[in-house]
Amino acid sequence: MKKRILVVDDEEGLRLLYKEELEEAGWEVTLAASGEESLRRIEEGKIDLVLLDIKMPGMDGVEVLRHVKERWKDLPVVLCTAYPHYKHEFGTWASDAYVIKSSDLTELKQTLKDILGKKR
Amino acid sequence: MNLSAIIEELGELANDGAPLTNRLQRACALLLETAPFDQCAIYLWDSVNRAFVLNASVGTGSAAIETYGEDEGLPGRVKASGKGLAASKKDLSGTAIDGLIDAGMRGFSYALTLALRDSSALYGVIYLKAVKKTRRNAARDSALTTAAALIVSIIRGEEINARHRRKSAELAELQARLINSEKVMALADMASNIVHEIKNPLLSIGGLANRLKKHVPQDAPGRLYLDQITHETVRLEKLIGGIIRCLHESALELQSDDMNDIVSESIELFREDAMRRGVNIVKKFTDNRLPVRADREQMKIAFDNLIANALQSMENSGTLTVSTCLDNDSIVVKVADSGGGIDPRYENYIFNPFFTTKKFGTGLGLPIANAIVMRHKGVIEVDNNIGVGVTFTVKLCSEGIECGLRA
Repeated sequence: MKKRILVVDDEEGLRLLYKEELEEAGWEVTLAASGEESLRRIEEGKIDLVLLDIKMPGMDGVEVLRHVKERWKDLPVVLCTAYPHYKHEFGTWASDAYVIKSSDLTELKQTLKDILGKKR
Repeated sequence: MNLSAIIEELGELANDGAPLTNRLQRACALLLETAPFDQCAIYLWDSVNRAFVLNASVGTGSAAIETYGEDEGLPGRVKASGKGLAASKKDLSGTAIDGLIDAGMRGFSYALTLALRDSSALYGVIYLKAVKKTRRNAARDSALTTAAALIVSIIRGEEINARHRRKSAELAELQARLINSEKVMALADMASNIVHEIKNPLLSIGGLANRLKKHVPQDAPGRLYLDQITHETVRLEKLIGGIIRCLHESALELQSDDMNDIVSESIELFREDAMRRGVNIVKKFTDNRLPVRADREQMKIAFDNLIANALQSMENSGTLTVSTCLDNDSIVVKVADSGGGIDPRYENYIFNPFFTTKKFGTGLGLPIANAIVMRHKGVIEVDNNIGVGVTFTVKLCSEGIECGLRA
C-alpha cells in the first residue's frame, strides 16, 4: 500500500508543488495549511509521515512537532524550512530529519524515501 | 599681595576650569608680584619633540623665546641637572650667560630658573628674569619652591582632565557605535523578514516551473522562457540562502575533529564539477592528524566556498591544489588555483558581501568563508599572484591551544 505523507505549509504554491512532486514519486499526499489543521488531519488517521514547515502563523511547526511527539510517538516528522539555523534550536531535535527548503526537491524526496523505507 | 595670599590663589588655580595657558599666565603674574623680577615665563616640556615650549609669559623686556631644545639655554641646563638654578651676566645686550648662550637673556642680567617637577617627571621650567641682579633670600626661595610645586599641581591636574576628556570622548564614540549596531540589528531583522517572505513564493515559482518543464518538450515554443525562469530562480535562491546565513549566526557546534577529513569531504563534493571544467585536483595532505575544535558543517561550508571560488576562476583547464600542514601550533590549509589571479583593483573588496566579478556570483561565498573561519578564531590570508593564480590560506589553532592568530 502507498504511504501517505501529510504536507503542512501555509504557502499555497508550495503545497501544490509538494503534492504534485510527491504523488509523482509514488506517495499519497494529504495537505494542511496550518498547524491546527495538521493535527486534525493526523487524528483522522492513515498518515505515515508529516512534512512540516516551521514558520507558520498561529501554531508553528515547532509546536506541532511537540504535539505530534506527545501523542503519536512513532509518527516520523521531517522539518522543512527556509532557515538553516533552526537546526540548532531546542524543540527541533525531536524531528526525524531536517531539510532546508529548495525548489529542487531531490534532497527532500531522498530523505522521505530513507525514512519511509526504514519503517516496517 | 602677601605671600600666603599668593600661595592660596595658586592653590585655587589648580581647580580653575580656565584654559591652562590662562592659569599659568596668572601664576606668572603672581610670581612677579612676590619676587623682584621683570619677566616670568613658563615653559612646558614636550616629550615628543624633546623641547621646552613657551606656554605663558608675563612682564617687560624682550619677548621670551618660544622654544628651547633639550640642551639649549637655561631651560636646557635645568633639564640636564634636574633642578633649578640662578645665573647672572654683566652686560645687558649680550646672550652669553654662565658659559652658555641664551638669546632669552638679551636685555636682562639676572635669571632664576625653577624646575617644575615631582618625583616622577619633569613637566617644565619657570624662567624668571630681572634687569638688575637682586640678592637671594631664603624666605623668598622657599616661597618660590612652594609656588613651583603648586604650579606642578596645576599642570598635572590639566593632564588628568585631558585624559578624562579623552575617556569621555571614547565613551561617547562607543555609545555611538552601540546605537549604530542596534540600527544594524534592526535592519538585519527587517531583512530577515523580507527574505523569508520572498523565499517561499520563490520556491513555488521555481518548483512549479520545474514541473511545467516536464510537460513542455525541449523544442516547444516557450521552453526557453521556462529554462530562464528556473535558472534565475536557482540564482535567487542561492542569493537568499547566502543572506540568511549572513544574518543568522547559529551557535557553533564545536567538536574534536581532524581538519584533513573536513577538507577532504569538501573536495569530494567538487570532483565532478572540476572534471567538467577540465581542472585537475591535487591533494597534498600531511599524514599527521590535524586536531581541531570546529563546527564540522560550518567549516565544510567555508571550504566549499573557497573551493567553489577557486574552480570558478578556471574555465577550461587548470589545477586546484589543496594542501594541509601543521605549522607549530597552527593548522594551515591552502587552497590554490591557477586562474590568473585577482585584478589588483578588486583585491581589497573580495571579502565584502555582495561584491562579485562573476556574471552569476552572489558575492557571498568568500565573506561567508571568512566569517566562519573568523568565528573559529582563525584567519584567511590571500596571496594574489597576478597572471598565475590565487592562494587562500586558512590558519586555525590546533585543538586546545591558544595560538594567538587573532590578536
